[in-house]
Amino acid sequence: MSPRRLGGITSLALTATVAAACGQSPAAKSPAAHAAGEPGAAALGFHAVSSAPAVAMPVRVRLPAIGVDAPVEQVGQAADGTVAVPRRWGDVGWYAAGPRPGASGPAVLLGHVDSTAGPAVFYRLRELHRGDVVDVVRADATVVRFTVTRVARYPKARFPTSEVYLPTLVPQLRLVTCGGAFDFSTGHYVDNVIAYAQLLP
Amino acid sequence: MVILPVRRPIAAAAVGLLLSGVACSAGKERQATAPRPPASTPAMMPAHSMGGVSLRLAGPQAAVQLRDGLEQLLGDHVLLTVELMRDRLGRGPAGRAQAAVDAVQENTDSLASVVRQVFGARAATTFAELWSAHVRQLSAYASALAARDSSGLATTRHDLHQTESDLGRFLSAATGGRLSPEAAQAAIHMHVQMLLDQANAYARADYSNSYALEDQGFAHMVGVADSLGAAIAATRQLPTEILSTPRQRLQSALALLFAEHMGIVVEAMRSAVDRAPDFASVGATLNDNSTRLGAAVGALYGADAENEFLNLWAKHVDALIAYSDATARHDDTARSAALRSLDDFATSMAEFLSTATQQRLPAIQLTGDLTEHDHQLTAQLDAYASGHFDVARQFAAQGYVHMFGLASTLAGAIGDTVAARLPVGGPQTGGGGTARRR
Repeated sequence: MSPRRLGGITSLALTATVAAACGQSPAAKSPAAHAAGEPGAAALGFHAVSSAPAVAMPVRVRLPAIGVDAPVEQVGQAADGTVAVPRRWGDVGWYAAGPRPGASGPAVLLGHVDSTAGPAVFYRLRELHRGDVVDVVRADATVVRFTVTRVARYPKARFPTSEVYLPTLVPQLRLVTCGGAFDFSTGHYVDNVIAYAQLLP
Repeated sequence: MVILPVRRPIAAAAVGLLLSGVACSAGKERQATAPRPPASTPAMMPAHSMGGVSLRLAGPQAAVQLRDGLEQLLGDHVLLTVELMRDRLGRGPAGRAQAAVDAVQENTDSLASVVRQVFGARAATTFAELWSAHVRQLSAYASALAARDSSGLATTRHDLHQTESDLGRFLSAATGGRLSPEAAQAAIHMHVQMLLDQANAYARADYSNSYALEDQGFAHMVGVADSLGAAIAATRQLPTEILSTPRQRLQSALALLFAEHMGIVVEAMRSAVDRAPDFASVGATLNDNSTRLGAAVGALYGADAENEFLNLWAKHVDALIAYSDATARHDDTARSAALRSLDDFATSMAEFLSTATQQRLPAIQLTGDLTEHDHQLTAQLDAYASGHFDVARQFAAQGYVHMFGLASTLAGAIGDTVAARLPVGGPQTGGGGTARRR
């Protein structure tokens, strides 16, 4: 298994069974194992691509338009199926069962809008505008840059799960926090604020 | 009936058996006996060769069927027209050009059939005249390019520009103004320009750029098909919200990648058997497509699965090129080895995909589908190598339609699988501290 933490138990199980179904571990089936290819193809100088470039995990997020420069922690799914949230008010959580920022698909970053005492890391997320820049620093020190395309607010009861999490085939980013009124009876905000961003070439 | 093939196991098995026969015997029969064309049921007939395409212009899925059909036909138009233009430039063996002309004409007939059902016979006649002129002018451009006829090039450029304008007005009127004449003309102009540019690049032996432009032209035209499909559906007052759902976007994107694979791998195999100078470039384009397919798997299932997929997919691609090479060398032993590799691939990839879809797609069904895909590819090559270009085109066309069907099936099962494991509800990312202070 690669060093990537998939977070969700389902995803871990799925990846393991996918590997098992093919008769060996992903490590045993390394790209090098295929390097020889078919002799006929090799004779023509052709080698089919057999591995993907690695994309490092996110370690830091910068949102200069709203003054955010925060470390990233990994989050998975809670037992009730909801996404887990960052343990620290000042951290951004990366949903590690989804894509890494810069890889194909929607990478999801979550942050608290406030703590029990005051503003938290994504307090000003709703102030983002189309065109604002999002920089994600990765573990290999590379920086991948996105630009905000829209910001929207949804009642939690109608959270757009597919729009946020369902895979796309191009690199995208979702920044998620809470918004709207605070329901003192439940201790939670009633809405979510989501900023959608796309990769800058 | 719909444009996309309805998968029929028995018919598919029959086609597979027939294709197996062609593939296994072609080495001995190459010079003597014409390979039989693929058996087809109406539902599995290549769209471009269907005399009468039936659209179901009602119901919640109507807009999706319309979009899928246009993606398929307009995407195929690009692949076929590129083939026709390169033939005019002297690519490939003599005799191939007429098959390309016939194939483009059949594709035009199918497009006109769609127009007839949506807008009536008069509109279909107008469209067919304009579209045929568009194809003729592109062909004439390539001929002029081959002849270094600068006057002919200028004339055809002028004619193409006029036809772009006429097509723009036609499409705008057909969509009730939802596409402006300027926007429609601009879309057609970009399509034409990409085709001209790829031909120019091919003529100066810049094969890498030519194939890259073909790739971009294919994706562009599928995008045009999406816009047209949505505009036409709205004109017919069909529900169009479904087209913008994440699931439908995923299906469309996967169909594009798989159809692109079919188009490119056919070109790569033919280039390999011809020992053509463009082989390295088409091979690189094939690898680009594989990389994008792998990235799609990565987006769906993560980096480990992406590498697993690519490792298996590489065996498929390598074996097809090896088969082509062995065919060129008349090496039956190597051909048999490549076919065995393809069988192994079908089994392994079927297991991978079945597991990835949590058995929503049985491995045995997937093995059959992938085997059929490989048989269509090897059979088209056998027919091509023996000079039976019409038969080669029929196998390739059937494989192209089959890819759309497979992509649709995969996208549905993958969508269900992935959707079932997504987080539910909105996250609780607030402690209420600022609310309490208000």
